[in-house]
Amino acid sequence: MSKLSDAAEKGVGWIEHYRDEFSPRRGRDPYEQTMLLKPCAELMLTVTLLGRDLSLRRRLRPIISWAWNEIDRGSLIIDLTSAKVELVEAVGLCADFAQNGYRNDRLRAWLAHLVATRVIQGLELTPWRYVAFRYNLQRLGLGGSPSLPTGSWLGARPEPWTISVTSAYPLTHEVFYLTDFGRSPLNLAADLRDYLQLWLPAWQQCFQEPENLDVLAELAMTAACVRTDPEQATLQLLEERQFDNGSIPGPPGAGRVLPSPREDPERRRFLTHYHATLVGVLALAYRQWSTACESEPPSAAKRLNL
Amino acid sequence: MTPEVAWCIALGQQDQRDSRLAIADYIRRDHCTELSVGQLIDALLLWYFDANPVSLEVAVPVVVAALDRPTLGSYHRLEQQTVFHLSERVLGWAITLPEGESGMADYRVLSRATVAGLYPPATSTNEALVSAARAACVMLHSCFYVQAAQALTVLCGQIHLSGEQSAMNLLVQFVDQSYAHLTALAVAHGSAQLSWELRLMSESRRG
Repeated sequence: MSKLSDAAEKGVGWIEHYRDEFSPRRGRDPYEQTMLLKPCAELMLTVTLLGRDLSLRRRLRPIISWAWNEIDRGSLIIDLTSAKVELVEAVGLCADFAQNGYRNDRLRAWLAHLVATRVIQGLELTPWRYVAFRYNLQRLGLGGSPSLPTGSWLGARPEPWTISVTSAYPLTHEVFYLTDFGRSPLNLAADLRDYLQLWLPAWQQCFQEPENLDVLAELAMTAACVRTDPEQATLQLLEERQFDNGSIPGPPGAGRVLPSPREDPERRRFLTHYHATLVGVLALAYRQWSTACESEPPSAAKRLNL
Repeated sequence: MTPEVAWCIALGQQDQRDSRLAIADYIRRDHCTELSVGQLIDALLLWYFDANPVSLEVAVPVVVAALDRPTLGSYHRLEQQTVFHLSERVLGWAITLPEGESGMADYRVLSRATVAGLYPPATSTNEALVSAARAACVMLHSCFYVQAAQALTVLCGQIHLSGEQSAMNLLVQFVDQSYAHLTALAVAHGSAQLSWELRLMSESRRG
């Protein structure tokens, strides 16, 4: 595995330094704690992906151990999902803990029960959330492989210039989960991989002006998942915009819905930038986590030297 | 109406005879006595598309409006070649301009050279082809429709040149989608500029 770039190193340092801000216990009540499962789950996903690199796994192990304690070794998830079946983030969080060897038999039995209830058939999830949910159930051994449901942006393979912020997030996440974050790019049909390899560089250009680093980082990660190097301009922009403390600026209004007791400015700044920082670090460190396990037959895109 | 739009309306007349008269009318107007090299190329292309040869009565005022002035303004070397090539075929005599600028030509210049059959060179790479497709995508996304059509015209010329047909499906689909979209936009906005670019794109698609 290659060494982290200076910018990625700074970003990982920021994650370590601001670790405590990711705790769901920052919420004042179960409602706020449930909302704060999202940043915590995103932290765990980031750490799990970076942990595909052996040296980063050793380095980041304390964060996983800390997070496990923050959710009371799984009991907090049982408490929160007992009151409100907010399963998508909870299942993702549990899947990352399980992948890192942290298990709670009571939690697993509880999730297995919830997954067997009828409400699971009627969660009214958007296509990308549905894929995310299925991906994480599979990781927990509670379901089969995720597949692209009808009605997804990616499944429609739309005219490429129609991409927008609202479609970029779903498409990137559909690719993440369907390819197991680049481990199995062949889970995508060959024509879909061609489509992505052809248009991802153009899409990265689209979000440089006006600049949206959060989307750019997601697109760079998506490129890595289909075995295409992210655009150099994207990585350079992430490096140039990175703050001295290692964080990466989120788009205006990012994290606004997440609770910030007493509107503490420092906390608000964290909530605005944490997501762009996590995905920015993953984009900058893509070589550490995106190595595919499958050998890929030459695609049309490869024949065009894309 | 800007002179640029008036020019495109003149170019865009459906009837062959009407468009020639419209160009002549455009030049007769006081504020339009000078044409750029790019406009001269467009006029030559219009005549190039026509089945009937253009008369000297129509052609000479256009050529004069483009050339009869102290400075021609800046133009690219490829435009100089395009003027030479088209004038020889359309008028029967070649217009030789002084050496144009070198360096990277933009998609407007490349699109005209493509329709004239001067671009892409036989050595053109798949990388150039994919670059044109991605540039068109970004321009469409940014609502720069005229520039997008120019990049698409170049792309069409490159697709014809490429031997890798099976890998072209995505690009051919993109060209079809873009052409349909731009055509609908040109009608919806009543854009003469876009209509003219689509005519060039259409010629390039035919190959």
